[in-house]
Formats: sequence, structure tokens, C-alpha cells
Amino acid sequence: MKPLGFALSILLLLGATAADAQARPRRLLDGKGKQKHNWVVPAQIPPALKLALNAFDRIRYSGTRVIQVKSGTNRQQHTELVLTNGPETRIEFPPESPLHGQIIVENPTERRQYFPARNEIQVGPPQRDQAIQRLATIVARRGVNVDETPGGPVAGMQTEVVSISDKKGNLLQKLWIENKSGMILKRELYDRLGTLQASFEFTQANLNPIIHPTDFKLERKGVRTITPDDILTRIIRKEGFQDVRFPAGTPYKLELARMQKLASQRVLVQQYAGNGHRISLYQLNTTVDPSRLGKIAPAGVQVYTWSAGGASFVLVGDLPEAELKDLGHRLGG
Amino acid sequence: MRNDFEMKREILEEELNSPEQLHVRELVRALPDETLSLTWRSGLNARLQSEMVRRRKLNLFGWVWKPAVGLALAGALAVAFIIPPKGSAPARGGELEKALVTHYVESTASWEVAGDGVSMGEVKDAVNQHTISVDPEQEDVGAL
Amino acid sequence: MELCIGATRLASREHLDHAAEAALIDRCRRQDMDAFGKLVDAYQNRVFGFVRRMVPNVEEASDVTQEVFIRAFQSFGRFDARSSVRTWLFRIAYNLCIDRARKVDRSITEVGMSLAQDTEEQIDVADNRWQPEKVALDLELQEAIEEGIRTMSEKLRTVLILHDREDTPYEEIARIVGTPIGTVKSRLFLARAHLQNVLKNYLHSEVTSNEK
Repeated sequence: MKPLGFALSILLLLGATAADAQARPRRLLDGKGKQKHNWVVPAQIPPALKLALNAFDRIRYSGTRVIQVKSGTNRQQHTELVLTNGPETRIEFPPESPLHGQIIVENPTERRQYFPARNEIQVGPPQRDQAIQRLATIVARRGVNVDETPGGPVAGMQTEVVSISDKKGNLLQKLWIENKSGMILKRELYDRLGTLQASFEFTQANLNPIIHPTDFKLERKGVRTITPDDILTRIIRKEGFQDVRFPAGTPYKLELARMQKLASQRVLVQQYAGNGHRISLYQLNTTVDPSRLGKIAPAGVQVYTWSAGGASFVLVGDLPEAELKDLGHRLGG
Repeated sequence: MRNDFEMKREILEEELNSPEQLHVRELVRALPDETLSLTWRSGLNARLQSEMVRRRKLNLFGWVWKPAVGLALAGALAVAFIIPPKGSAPARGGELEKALVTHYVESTASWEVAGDGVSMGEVKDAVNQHTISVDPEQEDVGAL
Repeated sequence: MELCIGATRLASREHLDHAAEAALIDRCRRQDMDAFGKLVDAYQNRVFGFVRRMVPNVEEASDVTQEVFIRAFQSFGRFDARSSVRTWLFRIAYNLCIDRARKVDRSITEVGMSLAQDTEEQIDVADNRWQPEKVALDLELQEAIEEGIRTMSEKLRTVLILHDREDTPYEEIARIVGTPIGTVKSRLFLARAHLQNVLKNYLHSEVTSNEK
């Protein structure tokens, strides 16, 4: 019985440690003992959404999440296996997925993504906070309506549905939030015509997952580590683009750099995020029509363009006009 | 009614500084400022850039024409009509502009729902490697 | 003096001091796009504010304003700096507006000018650009003033905007429009008298409410 007793003690100890870790906020506390987030939780929002925003960096769960995204005329769908412990997350992909073998581990300081085929780990800025900051920013906007109604069960759990719409009543997004934990079990985003733009849904979820201390570590022997900036430099050298990128010191961090074919043109795409905003910088060796861009851009999205050295630069973002223009100036526009 | 153009200078000066006239000046001054959009500024940038290119061509032309007018003319004609200037191919019917904005909107929506998960482009890369056909207009060249 | 307090757009004028402007001019002469961009930043809204009141619609005013800066860029080499850049830009703007009126073969005064369609949300957040000494107008009074400006001749309108909105000295206005200073002054007097007449109901009610 002795070894069994020892094992039980260890388990209890681990359980107590985990419970303590769960109860103790990982972020700094403000003067009033409230937890500080990187986002502001607006006072005038329904309780379920308030719970979700407050719990976002404390909640623990594991689950299977199906993500669907509209891309041109197609829809892409993939499945992720998610384990979350407050601000830490691990994502893997099921065996049938083309992404199987990749692993993503994120903590408040960085996001690491492992590509087994290349034995490479891409290290970039954390993204989890950005998405929730953006949600908090949207619901805090003037004229945005946020309603809560009872929702049906999602992944076997009871939910409240939070609907966010603009001042004209156009539905922007819907969130299905579990009543007690504040876990966002399902989310749908709509475009200005009311078409579903992107969504995720947990098909299975567990609010008391077993978490191993090494779950949020990602190291591989002989692995090559690379950052989005390295990738950008590589593309610039290979494709002969100009080295125009956001300078250090802006709150916006490069999350992704890639070549993309858009309307038969080869375009260097840089995607930045910070303070809940998303900005893309496009560089291409052809002319663009600024007035047309301005007319196409949806409400809240600004576009700033300039030309230099035979290339066109298009800066698109959800920033105030003056701020985007200032960014453009700093980039040489 | 003092609408006389021949009004004496002193009287005019006095009238312009009368409380009624100064009141109107304050009202005009208090009108809200006008602001131009970022689209307007982008348009101006594009026009200034093409003006700059045009000037450079003209300058170059000016240097060359003295020693060899005929050769320069032929060269300029070649530049203008035969050799398409690099980076100035016109966009086709707004498709490119639409594709750029759509890319931003779609990738932002994907980023919002995926959070710390994989991006739309990464899924495309993985799918492409599994030889599933994609819309050629939306072909993703990848992160190299 | 306090008039009607209402929501107003925040002032966004940028000013360049003399030394900064001289340095920019020097760089602009060497076709420095960055320097020219800074001049555009400083004056685009002011030029637009003038042009917008001289042509029938906002879209056309935007085009004319672009043309002002293109012309300025093209002819910066000939800018002799005897007048300020601002005066020079307003002169270009004035000439373009007059040319445009001639091209459409009718006087600006005969053109019905539509109200600027401004459906953008008013900003009411605190901002350090707020100028407390600046009188805030309510929307109705603003529209009445704009209407008054629209219904005066372009000669009076030009002088009124340049002097009362843009604080341009009489001498510079005289250079812009090519008339003697005395004529500028008498036009200003007549322009204000016209506005006074158009606004008499508002001004009367304001006096009455102040007396109460």
C-alpha cells in the first residue's frame, strides 16, 4: 500500500498546486486587487461577455475546435486540438489533417510554431491576447450594440449568445459563451453583407483538463529557429523587393510575411498586430488606384498608398486615419 | 446702406472694426475645419509620384538631346511606346484593388477567430502540399 | 464672446514656423518628396477649406485641391519666396477656381452650390487640439453661415474666406486676387454685411437670449 499512498500524495499535491495556480492570477494586480489585462473590459456589456473577457487569461480547458474561413469563393476548414491554461496554449492537429505534426505553443511573451518537415520553429509575437483585445475594442466602440440571449448547448454545454451589431443594426459577430466559466465555445464573424466570414466551434470541450508541466514547452533537437522578420528578409532577398518594414518602436509586431498572388500579381504581404489592431502592408511592382481602394474599403478600415522606386505600397488597417498616415510616412510614404 | 465702393478709407477702416463686422468675422472663423480623407492623400501621392517620374524622364531627355537629337527622340519613343516601364503596368478593372482589400478583410477575420491558431495562409500552404486544387486567383505563393 | 455651444469638429490645422518653412522650401526646390509631403500636411485642409467654398461640390473641391498641390510641385522651382507658401498656394487655388468657372462657361456666382454632405459622426472626445477661445457653433447656425457664403459673389467670398478664416493680411489678399488693398477692404465690408443680413434672425435671437 505504501507506493500507492505515495502516488496518491503526489497526485493530491499536484492537484493542489494546479488548483492554486488556477486561483492565483498570473498577471499583475492593480492597486484595487483586480486583475490587469492587456484589454479593458467595458462596464456596459452583458454579463456573459464580461465573464468571457475577464476569464480569458485565467481559464483552463482542452477541446477540439473546428475553424472555418471564407477565402475568395471557397471556404477552408481545419480542426485544432487545443489545450489552454490561462495565458498558455498548446495546439496540435488530428492525424487526418494536412497540418498534422505541426505544434503551436504560446505564452504571454512568444508564440512558437514547429514545422516537422523543415525541422524549424518559427518564433513570433503572441497572438492570443491580440484577438481578445480586438474583441474588447469592438464592443467598447460607440454605437455598437451588444445583446445577450440564451443559446443552445454547444459541445454539450449551456451557453448564452452574445450578438454584436453596428449602429445600423448589421450583425457583426456572435459568440456562444459557457455560463459559468466564460469559455467562448463558438464564434461567428459576418461581413457587411451579412455573409459568414469566419467561425470556430468547439465540438468537444473539457473544463478540467489534465495539464502536464511540459505541455507548454516546445524544443526540438537540431531545430532551426526563425522569426517572421527573418522570413521577410529572406523573401526580400529572393524576390527583389524593397526592404520596407515597420520600424522597431511601433506597437505593431510582424506576425506574418509571405508572398501571395492576388489578381495575378505577386504581392509581398506583411501582417502586423498590436493593441488589438491589425495592419497589412502590401508591396507590389505595379500601380494601384488609391481612390478605388478607398471606395472598396469597408467602414473602419483605412487605406494609405504611395509609390517609391518603381513599387507600390498599400497600407491597410483598422487604425484612425491620422495614425495610419503617420505610419505610412515613417515607412517612406 | 453703405455699399459704396468709393467709401472713404477712414470710414471703411472704422466700419470694418465695428462690433457687428467683427462679430461676423468670429462666426466665419468658428466654422468647422475641413478635412480631407486618406484616400485623397493617397491619390495625391500617386499623382506626385508619376509627376516625379515624368520629370526624371524629361530631365534625362534634356541631357541627351543636345548631342544627339535624333537618337534621343528614338530612345524616348522607345521608352514611351515600346518598352513598358517597370512597375507601371495598369491594374485591370479594379481587380487588384479588390483583391488587396478582400485579402485584408479575410485574413483579419481568420486571425480574429483563429487567435493563437494557424493563419489562413498556413492552412493554404498545408492544403497545397496535399495537392488539392485552389482557385488560381487566390493562389498563395507562401512564406518561402 | 460665447455663442451657441454645440458639437464641433476639432481644429486640425498645423502651423509651420518661419525657419521650418524656409528649410522645407529649400528641400522642395530640390524636388524632395518628403519635404513636399510635409507642406501638403500643413496646408491641405486649409486650401481645401477655401476651395470647397469656391466650387459647387465636395468631390470637385477635392480634385481641385489635388490639382493645387500638383501645380505647386510642378512650379516650385519658380517660387521666389517673396510671399509665404500659404499665399502662393492660395493664389494657385484661386486661379484654378476662376479658370474652372470660366471653363464651365458660367460665373461661380450662378452655380447652385450644394451643402457639403458630411455624414461622418461628430467626434466628442477630449483632444489637446481643442481651442477653447474658438467659438463653437451649432449645426443650424453653421449651415446658415455656409448658405450666406454661398449666396455672395465669388469676389466677396474669396476675400471673406481669405481674411476672416485664413487670417491672410490685406496686402497678401490683394496680391492673390490682383486688386488694390482698398478694394479688398471694401469687398470684405460688403461680404460681412451680406452675411449679417442673412444671419439677422440668428443674431437677433442670440442678443435676445443674452439679454435674458
